[in-house]
Amino acid sequence: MDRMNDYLPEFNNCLQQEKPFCQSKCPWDIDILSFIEKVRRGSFNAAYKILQNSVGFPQIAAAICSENCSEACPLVNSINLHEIEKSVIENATRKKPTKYSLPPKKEKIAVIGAGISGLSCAMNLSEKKYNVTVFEKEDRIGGSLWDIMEADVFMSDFENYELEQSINILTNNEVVSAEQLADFDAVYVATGSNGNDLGIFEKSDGASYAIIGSTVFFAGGSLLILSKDKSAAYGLHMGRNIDNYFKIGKPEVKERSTETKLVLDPTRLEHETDGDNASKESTARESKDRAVEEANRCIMCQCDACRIHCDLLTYLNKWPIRIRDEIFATTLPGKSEVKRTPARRTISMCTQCGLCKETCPENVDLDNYIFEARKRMHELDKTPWVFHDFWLRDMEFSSNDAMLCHSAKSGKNKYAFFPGCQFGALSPDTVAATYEYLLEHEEDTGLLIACCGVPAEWAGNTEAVEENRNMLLKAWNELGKPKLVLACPTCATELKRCLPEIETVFIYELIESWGGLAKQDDDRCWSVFDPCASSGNEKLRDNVRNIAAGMGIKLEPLPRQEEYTACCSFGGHGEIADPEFSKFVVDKRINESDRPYLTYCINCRDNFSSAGKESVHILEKLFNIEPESYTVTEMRQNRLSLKNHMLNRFWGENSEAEENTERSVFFSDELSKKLSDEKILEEDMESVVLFCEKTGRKSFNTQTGCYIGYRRIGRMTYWVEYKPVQDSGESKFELINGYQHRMQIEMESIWNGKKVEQLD
Amino acid sequence: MEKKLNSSIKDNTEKAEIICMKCDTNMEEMETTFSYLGRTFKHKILRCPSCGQVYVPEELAKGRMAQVESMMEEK
Repeated sequence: MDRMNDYLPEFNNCLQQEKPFCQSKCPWDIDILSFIEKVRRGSFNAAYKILQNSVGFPQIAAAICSENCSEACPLVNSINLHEIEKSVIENATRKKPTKYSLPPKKEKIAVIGAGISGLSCAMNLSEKKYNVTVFEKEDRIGGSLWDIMEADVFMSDFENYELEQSINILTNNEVVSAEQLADFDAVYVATGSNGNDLGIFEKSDGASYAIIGSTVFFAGGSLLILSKDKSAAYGLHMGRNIDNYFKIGKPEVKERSTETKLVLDPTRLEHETDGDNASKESTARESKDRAVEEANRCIMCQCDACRIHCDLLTYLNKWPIRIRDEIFATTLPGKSEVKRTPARRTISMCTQCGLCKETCPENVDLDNYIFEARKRMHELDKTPWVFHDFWLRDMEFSSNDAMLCHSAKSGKNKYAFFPGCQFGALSPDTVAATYEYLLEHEEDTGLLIACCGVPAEWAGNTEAVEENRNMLLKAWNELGKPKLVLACPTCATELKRCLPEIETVFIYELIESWGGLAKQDDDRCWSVFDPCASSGNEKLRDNVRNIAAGMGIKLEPLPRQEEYTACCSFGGHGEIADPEFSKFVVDKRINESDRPYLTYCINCRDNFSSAGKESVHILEKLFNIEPESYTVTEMRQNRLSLKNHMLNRFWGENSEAEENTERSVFFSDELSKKLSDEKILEEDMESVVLFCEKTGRKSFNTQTGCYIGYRRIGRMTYWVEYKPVQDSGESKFELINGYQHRMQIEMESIWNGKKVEQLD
Repeated sequence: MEKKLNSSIKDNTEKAEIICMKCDTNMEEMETTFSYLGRTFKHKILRCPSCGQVYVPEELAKGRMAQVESMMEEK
């Protein structure tokens, strides 16, 4: 049973969508982050558009604004948003609002009072194509704006909206009673402070609206004793509320919240820079520069704790809520022909490092949500098989041909060394050296080389997890239930998850307690790279540092906080789903410091060395083993060789599964590397060549002189281009090129109405 | 193997010919069906008219085909 739903409630607490402090106090609710971002890149017209959409009349707004935003700003020297707005108004060149071609609506609305609140409401409703009539008792529009600003300023704002053309404005027309307006469907009463409320308050029972006859009367503006800016904003807000009333048929006045739950990361404040002290007397050009400079000083208050650390969110440029929604849609049952599945790739990309949860102030656990989504995707058969196929095949190999379970010579197993499957693949000599070291300290130590099952876990393949679990449990029982000595933090996490009954200990803890470490001749300074699976395990992180100190290795921490362990890109097996993301993660990790890395996960070590970063596993360092990189084929061979080596060295036995040393197909080093980069095994290439030779099913390229053949192995189709090796006397071939594709070629076995010979 | 039974592809002294070794026949461009993740596609590729053996060049596998595969993985 998947547990995706268990993680959903926390998402409701995600603070990312909380408004910044300044915006929460702005009567017009201007989208400040977006506004600042546009000013920063000098897009004054785009910034003006944001302003216009929020406030309606930008010049009037700038004049009547009471600058609550400044008080809300957490900076000591608060951002002067007002100056930025004025500069945007001054420098924007396109001020005409966007006109939308909508069909006219039949509802008739009256607005009483042509002050800023009434006109804001009338403008908003007229934009929505309602039939709007404004009644003004004076002979001019503008109301109290005449007392506080130059008429040409506010009139130019009105003209931009062509108010007089789109709205029926009746000046010298005083409305004295509600009965006069019986023809209208809704009325907005903005008659100013101490104005005529047309009996609304008497009939409304405390609300700001009343139904008189069949008309709904809404009170607004200064009638509600609001300040100028709030009154203007309220007019716009009521335009939306009246529109809403016609949509749902029920009058409602939704109050806008001025609260925000945003919690600011205090480190943001450390970067505060001084404000602009330039002279006020400046040209337009300078005002533009000043605005950009001021916008750059803004610390863009929003909760992005997870985004700072999570590679996936950064790479996709998305927020957790969006990812949740995409995953939710993707994991709904039903065929993908009719359902949108936007997160099919994303689900398999996540490195499952858990940093999102670690860093989230509200414990939103995107990591486990994705982990559970993988299982549901597998259950629904929606995961593209290729994302995890290579690693599932690798796991099968580890748990079969390469598996080794052996008791100590004494037959008693206090411990059993469990190095994990990749250690033997990437550093076989270290596995042997570590086991020998263990025996020196505790001779009752058995050996269990197998896969912990995490590849199946990351594939969401619960059946394969269960199968592997049973295999491990059987082996552990055969060994007499010893304490497993682990080297890989990921194995530890996985064993704890699927086999909590098995007691484990890290080799690093034993090494530290046994002591007696030889000093290393190394003057350089290293940084310990803590693997993602060491998260929450302070003891393990200390063990490794103490071993390094015991060997006399100088350490300097990485610049990031060490409790926030990050993934090298191996986690979650996302590389096949998105190789570019994988590269992005590795590059980010190796550039955290110029110092070489000392790690204790062999996959971290391999990812870094393959990317050209000097790094070593602490056990390699301890036993003086040179770190090496291998092709995917060599990694398999290493495991088989290790198995033979261990059996022979420690028990004088030979492996039943002999290594295949006789090869009939040869590869250049360059080609081997290419194949490995594409995760193609040389043994698969060899089997295709031999298949082509055996069946004669091959073609010939007259230009290159190569034979060409293909064969489907598992679900992948492999292609080979090869030549016979001259004078070899027997069937030997040189592989010239190899590649693969995921699509299946149809009608392979039945062609031209007849069934050709079986291909397998 | 240099024998050319069918020279339907003209003016291609520079272009390679692909010969089916099983049938000793020049492969011909034919519409071929591919399937991936529950969907099928048709594309013209070289195919032996006799036994149905096909040729998917690396440029196709890593180019257009990989693009379509990638699109399907997201659908």
